[in-house]
Amino acid sequence: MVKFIVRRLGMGLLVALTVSLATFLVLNLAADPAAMVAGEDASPEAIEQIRVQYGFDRPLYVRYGEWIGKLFLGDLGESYYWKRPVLDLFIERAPVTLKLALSSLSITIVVGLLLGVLAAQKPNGWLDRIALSLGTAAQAVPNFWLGLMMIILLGVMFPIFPVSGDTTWKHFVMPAFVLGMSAVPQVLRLTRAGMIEVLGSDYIRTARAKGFGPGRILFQHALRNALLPVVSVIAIQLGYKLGGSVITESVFALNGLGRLAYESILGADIPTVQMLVFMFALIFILLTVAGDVLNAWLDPRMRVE
Amino acid sequence: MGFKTNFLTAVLIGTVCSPALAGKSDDTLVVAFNKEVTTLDGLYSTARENVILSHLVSDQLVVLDPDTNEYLPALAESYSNVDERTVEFVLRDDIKFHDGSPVTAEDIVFSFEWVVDDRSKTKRGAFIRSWFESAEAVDDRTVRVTSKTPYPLMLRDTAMFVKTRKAGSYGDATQLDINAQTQSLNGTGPYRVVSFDAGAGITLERFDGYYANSPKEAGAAKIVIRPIPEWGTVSAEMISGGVQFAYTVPDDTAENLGTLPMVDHHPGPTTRIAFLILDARGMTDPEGPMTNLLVRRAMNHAINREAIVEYLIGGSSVVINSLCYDGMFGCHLDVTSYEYDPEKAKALLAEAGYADGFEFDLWAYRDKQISEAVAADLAKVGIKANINFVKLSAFAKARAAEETPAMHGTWGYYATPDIGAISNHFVAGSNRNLNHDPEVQSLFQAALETIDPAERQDLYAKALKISADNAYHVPLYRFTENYVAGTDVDFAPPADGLPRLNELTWK
Repeated sequence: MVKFIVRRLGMGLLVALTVSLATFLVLNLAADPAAMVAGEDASPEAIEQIRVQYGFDRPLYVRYGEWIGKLFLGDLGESYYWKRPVLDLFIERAPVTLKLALSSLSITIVVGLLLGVLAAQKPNGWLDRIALSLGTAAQAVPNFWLGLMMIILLGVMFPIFPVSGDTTWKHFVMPAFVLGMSAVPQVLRLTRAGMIEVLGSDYIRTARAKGFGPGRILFQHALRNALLPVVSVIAIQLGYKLGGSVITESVFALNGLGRLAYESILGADIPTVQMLVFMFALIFILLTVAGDVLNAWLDPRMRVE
Repeated sequence: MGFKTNFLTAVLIGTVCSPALAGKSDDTLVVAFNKEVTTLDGLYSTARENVILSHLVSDQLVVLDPDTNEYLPALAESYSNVDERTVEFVLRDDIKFHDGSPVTAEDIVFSFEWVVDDRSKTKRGAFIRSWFESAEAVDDRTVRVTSKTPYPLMLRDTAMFVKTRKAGSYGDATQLDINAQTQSLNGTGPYRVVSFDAGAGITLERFDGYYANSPKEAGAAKIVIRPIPEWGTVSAEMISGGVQFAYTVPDDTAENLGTLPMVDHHPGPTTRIAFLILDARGMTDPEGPMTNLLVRRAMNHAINREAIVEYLIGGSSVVINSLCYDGMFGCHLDVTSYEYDPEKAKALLAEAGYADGFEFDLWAYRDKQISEAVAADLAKVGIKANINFVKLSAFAKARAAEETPAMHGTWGYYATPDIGAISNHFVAGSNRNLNHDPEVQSLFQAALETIDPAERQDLYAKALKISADNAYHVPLYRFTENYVAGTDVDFAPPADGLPRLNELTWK
């Protein structure tokens, strides 16, 4: 198991570095970073000055090599725009994204699992149809629209929650709901499909024959097995959410990683973009490994494999 | 009931229920910025947000009055020309930095020398270095600034690009820290920074030690700047009273908000203009159609600029006939203009040997709908414009590589109502100049080295006339700026499109 985890993490690091190299090349080849840093009305002299000052005139392999060298010393560089170490920016903005990710994921899990289990009780019954309709609706509604509608309803018409910002827990209610709902359909459908399959299996029939109550059968015997694919999806969803939701963070003016990514990409702030891509890749890999470990814990057969 | 009426009703219900978060009651003006202010130090950002912030937290020797186009003494109580290259500034005796220390001649000299110092890496360093020769303290309160050659925009650069910093603000010679003022700024303006968190915003409060009789008196006791990237959210905040002012608001959003009882929409002018630059010199193709004067004139006649202004821009936008506008110093209006006349355009094209039209790449990086309108008008006379809509950085790369047969350009003039501020579109050696007309180049260069206003006017008049006769550009329009403010906020749009938040007061 340890060997498996170490190998997966090593692969993950390589993937993260490859992604960072691709990002670096795309950002540098598609545009002129010196012109971007200099600004819209900059003179050619100013652009040239910045090219030399920031070292954009050096070959790409030298600059990337320097980045890698510093990375291993724990230095991820300094932002061209924020004029600060990019790691500081990450540390400063990660808590907002983390809060949003965890709260929205909780909503996804609770609503998705509950609706999935209820729907699977009687496939094609009225409860199933309602749950699936809700899931389809949640999938069809774009985040920004739902966000703005919630703002109008609960921020302006009935001002229960603040419209935007991230200073109190109240600020997270609407964005967490919006982001959480977007992932509900996936969890709902997987849970439903898994539960329908498991509920039809022999061991459940045996459990019923033994006279176990429906609650015990559903949650103790069936759900545990039906959860296996859901766990992987939830790990991936957490990865997405920790990468920051540009739209949700923008609509609710949350000072998180999604917005940082958006602003730094628009401004061709290469050190910040590279740091974010690298960190997001690492987070994703870690979560995938964590999902595998959790699955192994849930299903002893996987441990043997 | 239409959507707007329903929305209005909903909003009114909400207004009754909603508590006032900030505003007139506690003398706190909350302003929404569409983008983050990434650093407090205006020397290291040219973004508009920083220009607006710097006006509040940093006073310079002089300040531009946008209504009269005059430079008013600010930290300086007076200034005078010693000779054609030297201006002498006499400082006030009651000016202080936000840390309470007095502003001295030594600080002013340091401020100039820091901007041009190679090691400082300031954004306008290269620009100031091109004319700056020296800054010298004559005594504790007198400073003389000298340019290499006579330079008419010295006051402009002093007012906008040389931020006043306390000597030693960036460390000493042995250990420089160019980011020293990034997170906490020791400024000189009517407001001081209380807190700064790039993503969350900035809180400013009136600076008690600010000098009396300043041309930049403070307004609200507190100003809170919040970055809100989504205009729908800004609208909701405006309606619920969470924000009292926003600028650069998209036209439709501003107009819709203006119909609500709690928001006023203020369209106003700006110094930014839009135009097409045509490769008249033939850098992309020595035999290309743009090298033909008749073709360039045809393109000018083909584009319906009045319709673009009326239906796509709106507000206070107007059509321009040169790369400048009425009211700007040096903008000579009596030049050849090209009225919208597609038939004439077709005739000119036929005369030039392009009766069947031609195809070219039009490079653009903003206002795509305008590029599309231009392309649609050109198509009506047989010219096919392939719009190459790219990010600014890619646009700049193509421009530097001289790969652009035509560019849809804009110029903000650094909010300076002086045609000298667009010289880089006319002088030699600039990649924004695609005609390389030696006469125009030398006239603009001469004007850049002339102090006498009448002489400068004359030089610009000649240059603009030649430029218009040769149709080197297709001048399009002057931009409009949309502001929205709470109805309890007293605000008048400034002539240069740069909102001075200290001038906002409560009704």
